[in-house]
Amino acid sequence: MKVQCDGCESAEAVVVCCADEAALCRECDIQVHDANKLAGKHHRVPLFRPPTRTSCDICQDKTAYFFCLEDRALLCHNCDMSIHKLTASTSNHRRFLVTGVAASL
Amino acid sequence: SMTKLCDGCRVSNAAIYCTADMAYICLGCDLKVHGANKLASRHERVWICEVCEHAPAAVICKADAAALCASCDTDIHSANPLANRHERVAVTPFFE
Repeated sequence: MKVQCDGCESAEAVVVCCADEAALCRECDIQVHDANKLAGKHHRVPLFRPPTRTSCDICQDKTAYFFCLEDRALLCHNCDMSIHKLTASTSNHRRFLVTGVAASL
Repeated sequence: SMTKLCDGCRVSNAAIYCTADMAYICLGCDLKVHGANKLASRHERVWICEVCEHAPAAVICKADAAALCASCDTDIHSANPLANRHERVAVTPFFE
């Protein structure tokens, strides 16, 4: 999976700017952050490509694509469905996509 | 440079504006002047805009973690659609 640039919405993002709450490609990163002295101070987190694969916390076998906030677990598609389609309460869990796009320091 | 010199010592750069004294002062003079007595400590002070380093700040931008005057706030945040989304809150005067 790729993260789309929030600036041009066409290129792949290479950094994340938390101050602007945006993922940006190289060109948009330069354009946005060269605009003025405050923007230039924004710390940007570089993104690794290609994606990193993480294993499901439950089966330890398949690739995890979802993170469940309530269960605090990385889940593959099968385990995610098994757990979350089981009861009314688990079906309300907040689950987020795991893109595998790792963050650098 | 446009940065204002402290009205008190004329040596350091001013960092805050005292609305009661109508003076731009550095942090050292602020401590000295406003720490002197109970009346002085009640003077309302505001940060000076970090961008122009000239006008008193009117807003704090949470995303940029910066104090800005109204006109710099407009300039900075109209640079692009991302900056325009930044959450800003009105500056409240402080007393210490």
